[in-house]
Amino acid sequence: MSYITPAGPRNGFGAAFAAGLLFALALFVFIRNIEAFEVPALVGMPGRVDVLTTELYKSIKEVPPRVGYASAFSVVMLIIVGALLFLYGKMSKQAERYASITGKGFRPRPFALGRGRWIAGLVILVNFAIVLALPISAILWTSLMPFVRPMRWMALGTTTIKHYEAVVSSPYYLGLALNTLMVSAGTATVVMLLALVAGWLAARRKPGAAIVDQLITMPLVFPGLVLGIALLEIGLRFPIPIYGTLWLIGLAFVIRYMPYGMRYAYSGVLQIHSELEQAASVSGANIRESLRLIVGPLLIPALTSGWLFIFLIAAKEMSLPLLLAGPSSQTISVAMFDLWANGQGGEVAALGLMWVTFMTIVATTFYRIARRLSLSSFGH
Amino acid sequence: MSATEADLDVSLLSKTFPNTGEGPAGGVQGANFALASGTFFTLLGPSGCGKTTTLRCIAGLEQPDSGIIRLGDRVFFDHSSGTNVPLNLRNIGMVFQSYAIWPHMTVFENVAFPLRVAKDRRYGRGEIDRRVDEALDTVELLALKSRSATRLSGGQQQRVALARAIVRKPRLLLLDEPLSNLDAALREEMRKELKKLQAQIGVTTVYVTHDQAEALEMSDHIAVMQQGRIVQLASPRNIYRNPSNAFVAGFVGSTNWLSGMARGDGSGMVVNLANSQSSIRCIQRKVELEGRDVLVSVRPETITLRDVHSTVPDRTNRLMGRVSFAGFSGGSMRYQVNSNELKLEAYGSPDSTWNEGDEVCIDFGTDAASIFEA
Repeated sequence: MSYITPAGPRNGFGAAFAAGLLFALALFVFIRNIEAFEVPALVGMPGRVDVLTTELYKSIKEVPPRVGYASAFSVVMLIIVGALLFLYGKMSKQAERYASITGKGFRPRPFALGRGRWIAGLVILVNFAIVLALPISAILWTSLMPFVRPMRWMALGTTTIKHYEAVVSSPYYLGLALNTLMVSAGTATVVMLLALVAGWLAARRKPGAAIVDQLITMPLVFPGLVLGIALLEIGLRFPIPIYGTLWLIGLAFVIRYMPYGMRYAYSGVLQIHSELEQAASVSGANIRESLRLIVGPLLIPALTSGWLFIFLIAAKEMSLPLLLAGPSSQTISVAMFDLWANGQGGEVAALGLMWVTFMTIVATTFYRIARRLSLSSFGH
Repeated sequence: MSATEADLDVSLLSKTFPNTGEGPAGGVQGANFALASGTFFTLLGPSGCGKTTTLRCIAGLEQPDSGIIRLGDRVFFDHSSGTNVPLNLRNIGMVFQSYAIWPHMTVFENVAFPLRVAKDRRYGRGEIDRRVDEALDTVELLALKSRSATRLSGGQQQRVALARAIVRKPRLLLLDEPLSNLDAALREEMRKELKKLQAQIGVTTVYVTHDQAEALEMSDHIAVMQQGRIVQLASPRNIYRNPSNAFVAGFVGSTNWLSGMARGDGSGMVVNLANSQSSIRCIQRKVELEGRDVLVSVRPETITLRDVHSTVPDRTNRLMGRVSFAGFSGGSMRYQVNSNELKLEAYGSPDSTWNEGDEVCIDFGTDAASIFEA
């Protein structure tokens, strides 16, 4: 029997562990950045700073679109990202191996920072300011100014609510909001229903479950834009005319968010003692009845959190609808992108701020209701 | 009992698991037993002996590699003919170790579930109400009918699980260590109740446990299992008094082990104890052990401590020793006595008054010593 003392931050083991973890994390951020489209498109393209994803986007939006070029580009990107993700998977697994021998000293121990507390406090404040306060106040400022201008005291005199009026009075935005809510809610519902079955198959190690799990997790490798181009081509060749409709966007969303839904459902099923299902089978229930009457209801907390998560990320997704939306299937994020490209910064800001507020209210309300429902059905 | 009149008939049942290297693999090899209707039958053994696997094969939760499982005239599983009735069509009542009460349902809904999903017939609303009430009444839980399943104590959950298992009046009831999660006092109480209830509804029952006291008290027949095999199948009394091997003797009840060399003597045997000049007699005769090293099992309650000047009763072995521990445990006195290098455990009446250091005679009957291969 060997005894393992929890590694402190000062000894060599702890340092090696931290370095491995940090490197894996850095790699992950690197991959996410390669795939990133929104920021380079909004900030980079106007200044003619092009990256892989913006080049891809431009080639498909040219008239006529260079589909072959874009597809070739997509494959190259897929290979790069795939290789990096594979490397990341190996590294994080290695980091986990270190993590699993921390022994029982796992409980977090608060310790006094001493003089360092001021620095730590400052870091937290600065982080909050940069990540949340600064952008929101900038948007608020822009939305209240007649045209895009820097923050100055003297500009306060020109404060106007005309952008808000424009957004509220236009039925166009209402239609967009409805489109966005419909496709997001629809996607979240379909994904979680599929995930219930797939997650159950995987968690209970049913035959074929490994393949299902692999297939569902695969879209993680696809950068949003690459998936969009793939679906664009599918949409054009599909026998049913779904090109340019919300259905195509919904299909793309389902493929893109299945891996996330799967994780929610999978870990949810793992929480359910398998004897609960076996008791149902012995009682006479077939697989369908077990899923509908036992596993489904018990999974409701996991399914609702998964639903909310997917609903929220789908509602803000930009790259897929940007490629796939037709004239009648625009979403809020596409509208914002177009407004921005047209130089209507004030309206983008007003719309964005209202949308963020609305979604926050929706999410909070939903969370409260779901919590109350699960309280009433589980009693704890 | 012939196989044709048996209610549950299991023959040559085998199921092995690929060894994953995590603890005992826990398969079962060539298990055979046939139970008359209404029998309380217990599979007893340490963890990994195959008792739970056997139970799960009967339930249909595991598919055996080979063998036949039959309930009445219905064949559940027959390897040679490829028969395998799906578990949800076997109409068996089962209580799981974790009780497996569905937390999102009330007590009533839990018990009604088997009636609602039954495939052999449809139950009307009135009949469901009546049957659930009847089952809950049997386990004395009728008052808690509409309570949420999460607001039940361990003992109450256990009763709900039982009511759910008997609500369809199954022909066979399977119990997988149902008492192991209860505290000691409740466990003793539930043993009695479970046994009474089983006799009352008269259902053939297979009970799995690693607790020998439970098995002895509740069962009509016990199968002791070791490493996937049934090593003895007999009544509780027989298992306790005539264990078929040293494993059974040691596992069922506590015992003292004496080692020595055996030889035949008249109708019985004599064992010359190792590290001692003494020898003991035994009325058993196992010819195959003559001239060999053996182990002798003597149960603590068969030992009587007597005064050094007392006369030896008939058919009694006597060793001389000294009390090294005396402890009063309420219902009895527990002694440890040393004889040369032997340490023996002995139980006395609570009124016996031997003290540590007393010289005593350690007496036990020639019928109380069982001899096994060393």
